[in-house]
Amino acid sequence: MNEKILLIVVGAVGLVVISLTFSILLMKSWRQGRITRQRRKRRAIEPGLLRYLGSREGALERFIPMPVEGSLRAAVVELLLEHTSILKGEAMERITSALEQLGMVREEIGRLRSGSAWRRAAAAERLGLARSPLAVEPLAKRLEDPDEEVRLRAGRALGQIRGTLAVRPLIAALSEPSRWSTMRVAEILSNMGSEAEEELIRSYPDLAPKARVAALDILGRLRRPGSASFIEQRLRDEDPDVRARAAHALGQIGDPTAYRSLLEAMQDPEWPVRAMAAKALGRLRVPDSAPALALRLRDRQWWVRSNSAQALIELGETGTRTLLDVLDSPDIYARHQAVLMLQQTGLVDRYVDQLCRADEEATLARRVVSRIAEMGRVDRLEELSRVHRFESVRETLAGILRKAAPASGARA
Amino acid sequence: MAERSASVLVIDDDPITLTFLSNLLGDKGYHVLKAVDGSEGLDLARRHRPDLILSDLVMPYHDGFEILGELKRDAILKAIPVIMVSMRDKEQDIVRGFDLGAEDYIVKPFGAHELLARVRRALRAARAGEALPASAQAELAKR
Repeated sequence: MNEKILLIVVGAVGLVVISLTFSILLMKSWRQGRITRQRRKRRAIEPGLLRYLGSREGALERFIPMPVEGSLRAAVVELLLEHTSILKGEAMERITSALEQLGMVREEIGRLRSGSAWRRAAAAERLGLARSPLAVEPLAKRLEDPDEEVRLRAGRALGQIRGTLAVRPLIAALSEPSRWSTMRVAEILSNMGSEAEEELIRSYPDLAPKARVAALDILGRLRRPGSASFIEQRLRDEDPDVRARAAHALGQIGDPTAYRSLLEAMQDPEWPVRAMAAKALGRLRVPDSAPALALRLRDRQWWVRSNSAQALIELGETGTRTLLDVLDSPDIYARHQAVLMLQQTGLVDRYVDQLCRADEEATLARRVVSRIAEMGRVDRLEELSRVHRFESVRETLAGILRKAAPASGARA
Repeated sequence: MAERSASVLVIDDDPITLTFLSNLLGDKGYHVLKAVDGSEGLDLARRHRPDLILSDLVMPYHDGFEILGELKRDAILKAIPVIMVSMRDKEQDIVRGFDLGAEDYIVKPFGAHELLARVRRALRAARAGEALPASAQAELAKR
């Protein structure tokens, strides 16, 4: 009896295993067959489609048999989308036009209203690839989507479509930091070039205060000299955040004609503006800004002193000479900031290397090193007096340090 | 046009770019050779001596710079103009391409008609070089 039941059970299990294996094989071969059919269709349609993309004239139906439906249409759409990553210009316009004609754009716009966030996000991405202006308005609405991923992909898609109409909703999103990461919008707009620049300047007066700061940041990242005069005017804004960001943006653009405005900004009552102006002057590398930067080494705020010293180094020889002059300044903050910068940039080490040379360089090196020792900033000098590769330099340096010891206690 | 009978070797590991460029050039009457990596590209270049090479930069085995270097070291193949076609748009890559002897550098995404125009120009320049008398070519080489 038991043996009979066992046989039935084994038989049933065997039957299940055999039918499962059979259905898996069937599914696999059906799937393989579908892929093969798709590939065949793709191969058949590809030459005509590529001829269409490489031509200047002629509608899609001149190159492939129309209408295309079902899986053939899907193959054509995929082929066209694949080429969006390598083509631009007229060929890209022809891709957009074909996708509109095939109904892909209309279909994906419809999917933007899907109940599934995943489908909405995928639709937004495909519409970005299609670059169709028809999708601008529906995508702009998705910037308000409850799902963050959909909002982000819609934003990116607008960035890919470009054009004034696509830029506007993105700029408006700058005023909604609760729904949008300002950095992400800024990243999208920064890749849009002149269209973003023009629209940011045009819509600037209507933006919320925080959005104005973000707008200036983007203009800086766009690095277009044409926006420099607009940004210079923002250095006189009543909001210190705007003034500071404007100074920073001018540094990023690097237009040397902005240096006079930045010199004025170095007098700003707010230290973040002075600090940003100093940094920007370093990027502009106009030697005439050295005296103003040297003056700011006496600033009460460390950031301003630090940025000014850094900017002087970036000015090259003029800036370095100015920093050396500051070693004799009566202002202790200025002197210490100058030494710090000379140390950070390795110039102190260089002067120590030159101590035993038999030329004018050695005289200057000895003066600079002695002055630093007198100020009591001896950490690096003491280290070098122990580890320098030349004995003559070690001995000379040790002598300078011994001589400066009493003075450093009194003066630094 | 004289260029239309020219042979062009396209080297790219991306099948989309390779197929697109081959079809585009083939439709314009060029004889197109295709290679999916640097090794195959060099092999085809040595065997067929094409009039022009369009090469991707980032590829398996030999990258575009290595191919360019190999070609320019070869006494026979160095005269073949090479146009780099790459996604890499950094100035240092473009400069390196030109320094190694590339005739042109095209960044993807590219305009199809612009690419064709650059191909025509490179072929014209190469043919103008060939047309020079031997003495003038030697003089140019010295410079």
